[in-house]
Amino acid sequence: MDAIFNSYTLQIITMCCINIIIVQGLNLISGITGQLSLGHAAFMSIGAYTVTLLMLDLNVPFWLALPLAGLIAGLAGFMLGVPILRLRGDYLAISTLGFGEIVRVLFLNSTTTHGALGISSIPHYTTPLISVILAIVGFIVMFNLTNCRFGLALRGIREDEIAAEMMGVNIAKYKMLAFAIGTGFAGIGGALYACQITFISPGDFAFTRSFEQLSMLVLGGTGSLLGVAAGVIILTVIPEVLRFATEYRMVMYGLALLIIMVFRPQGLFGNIRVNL
Amino acid sequence: MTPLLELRDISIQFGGLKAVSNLSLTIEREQIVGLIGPNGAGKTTVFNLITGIYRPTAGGVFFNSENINKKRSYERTWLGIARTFQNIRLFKQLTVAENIIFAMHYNRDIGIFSSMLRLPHFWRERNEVNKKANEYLEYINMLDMRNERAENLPYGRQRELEIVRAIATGAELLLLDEPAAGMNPQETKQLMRFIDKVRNDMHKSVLLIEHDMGLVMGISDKVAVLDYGQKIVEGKPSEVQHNKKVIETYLGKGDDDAES
Amino acid sequence: MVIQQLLNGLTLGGIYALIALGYTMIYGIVKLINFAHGDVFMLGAFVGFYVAVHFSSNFIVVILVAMAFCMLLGLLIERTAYRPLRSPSASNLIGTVIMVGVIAAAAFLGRNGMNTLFTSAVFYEGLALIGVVIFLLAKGKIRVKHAGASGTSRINALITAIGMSIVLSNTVAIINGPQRVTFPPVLELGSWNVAGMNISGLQLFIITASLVLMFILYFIVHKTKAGMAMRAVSQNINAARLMGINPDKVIGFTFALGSALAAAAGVLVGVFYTVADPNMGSMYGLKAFVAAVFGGIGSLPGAMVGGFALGVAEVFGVAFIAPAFRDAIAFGILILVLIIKPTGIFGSNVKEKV
Repeated sequence: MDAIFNSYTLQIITMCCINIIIVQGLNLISGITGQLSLGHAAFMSIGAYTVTLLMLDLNVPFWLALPLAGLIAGLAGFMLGVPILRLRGDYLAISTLGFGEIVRVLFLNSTTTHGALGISSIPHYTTPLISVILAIVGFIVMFNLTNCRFGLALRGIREDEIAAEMMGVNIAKYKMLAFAIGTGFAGIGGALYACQITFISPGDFAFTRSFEQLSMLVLGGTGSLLGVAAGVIILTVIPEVLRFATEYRMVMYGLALLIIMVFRPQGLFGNIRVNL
Repeated sequence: MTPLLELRDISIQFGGLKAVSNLSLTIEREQIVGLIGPNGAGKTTVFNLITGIYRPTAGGVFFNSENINKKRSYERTWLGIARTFQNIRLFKQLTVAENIIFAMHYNRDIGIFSSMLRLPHFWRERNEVNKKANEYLEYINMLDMRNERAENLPYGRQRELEIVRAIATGAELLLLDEPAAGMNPQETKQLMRFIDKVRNDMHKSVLLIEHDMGLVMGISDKVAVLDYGQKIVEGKPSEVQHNKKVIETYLGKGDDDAES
Repeated sequence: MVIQQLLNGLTLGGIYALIALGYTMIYGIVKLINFAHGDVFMLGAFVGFYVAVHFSSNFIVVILVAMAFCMLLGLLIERTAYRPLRSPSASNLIGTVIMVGVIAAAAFLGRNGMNTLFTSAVFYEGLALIGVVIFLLAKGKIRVKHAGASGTSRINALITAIGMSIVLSNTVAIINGPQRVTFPPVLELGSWNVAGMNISGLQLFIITASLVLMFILYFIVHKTKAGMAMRAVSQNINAARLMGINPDKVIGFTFALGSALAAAAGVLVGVFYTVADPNMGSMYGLKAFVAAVFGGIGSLPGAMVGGFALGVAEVFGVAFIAPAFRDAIAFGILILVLIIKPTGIFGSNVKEKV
């Protein structure tokens, strides 16, 4: 047992759970509601910085700071959503990407966040157990959320916005809600991430991380909750398995992404098309 | 009794083009009204004006004697106006049943929290909704396809499903945009009976855009003819059929043909 | 001061515009955000660097070799990462598998040299694996099905593009090492002092060169047969096919053309800023993409105007507002523009017909 559950594997499991929470959020926005976001890492960073600053500067206990991190990230998502969610497809995607970069530059230039130096010695609260439990809770919440009329409304919006509105759904409101909840998940995940790695800097939340999260989603299968878990686990484990390949690691990661996508375009568990 | 829908002198302009000008039209309860005219006459624009996709630049849309010019599209659905589309707009990747349930959505509260926690209230409501959806599906003999994806249905059935989806919103007024497009004569006849049945069984009013004259003339209580955004004639099907202006609109003026 | 900065801005803008043209052309024709495009730009700079150091310090040779190389690269990227998503036939999939093998081998070779490649077990294992996959594909044992009834979504192409981008930048980082390289001076045009301003010949050259390249592109797209085929495919791929145009060829041509412009931009950046590094592709790429969206994606004049406008705005922002916010300025402007005009400056306002 000890051989399997050594600290290294436990750390990977924790990272998987954190990523599952974050990508579930992205799935709600992009997979279920069909609004492509390329700035999910920004909300993760908002959660990470919120929890860190609350705990270190204001002495807020972790269990209060964690939900607050989700709340503030969700609020940021809501506020961004108001102007940009009426954009469509690629325009929405590039705006979210732009927002992500703006947030990163703000953290980079703020003195409270110590700029590029980042913040270290964040208390290590995220135990493997906590992350597993929260991932399961997140999964259940997401399952219930997508399997009720609210989820149905979101899926209808993905399929056809105009028809959805003509069937009596206030699409702006629903998109905004989906965006707020999805980014809230990212905030919680980011907070857990900060308390796992114990060091954060703006560089950790660049657009490449948003891309990585989207890759996890599409690889697993857009719109599928199980797919999210599968995609996250595969793309979290692949780089670890490839550690032997040292400098070839990222090349092989990229090639693996490409090959899986070409040979299984619908993702591992997906059967939903998201039309941009 | 006041009319269900009343268009009072509505106009809409796109750039310099008047797509609809000074159109007035009333639809009484349980009436089927046909809206015909050549391509580009502005028929679908009228639908878009009634459903709030466009706002009229002049005039007013009255529903149950209430001016709804300022209402958003989804609010108009709440009031009781639902439509189908020329190019079918079902939720393709949702199941047949989900398409119906989606439409039954608006008159319930969102209930995010009760559904997140799966309170008894949630299950009760889910059962009710499923039962009601099954009733609708039974009405069009589609119960056995309830878990099929909408995109996998044959074309004619998709049209039917779209109509029932509009009914499922609970709307009093149904706007059907070329429901018989792409159907063969047999299917068209079936559809005609179906629309008539809906009106009689469910006490709905229907505004119908259609190119199939047999269908329009067969079931409409009243027909309005649109050309270049203007109503040129309105009346009983038999009157309209023999109206000289209408014949000219569709076949062109005899003199013009001779000259050109 | 203002004019000086304007010149700096136009220089940067010319480079953005050249890259943006590639984005916008490819988007126009396959509705795909080719995120690997920024890395093609980076590779252009590196190829230019290698040519300049090892073969010839003639600027014309440097830029032409880089452009030719990237044209080929553009074709290969299209063949590897996008074509199999459009039509997952066995031959297209085999093409991808072979290319993946070639890229892996190239990364290995570039680092360790020829000898180690043939003596390493990984090489033969990889070769065997590829052989088996190709055999199975050819026999029809592996088939790829698209999700749902009709085709894949563009989101897949987005992911393969991201994969390709990771592969390209890291391959260069392996072969070259992750450090930046310093360009040798292949083009020295001096500078003049006019009314207290320092006008560099190189800047004028870059602005002129980018305008000339844009003009050539405009000529190709609007006055040649190949350009007409491009426009036809971008408007309606199926109708174009029925008219006897081979869309695969046209799409390949578009990728080649866009990549050549990106390579030219890469060499110009190398010459002007004298450095190139394996990670520079992503930021230049993103901003060029912003420029394309800013101008209205799919529109060639839009990409040009967007590129220059963005370059000037960025330089002015850095000079007069806040240098630390350099990377945020472009994106801030973008979001503002999109909120005001959701389809960019030159984008046609296609409202969905109901």
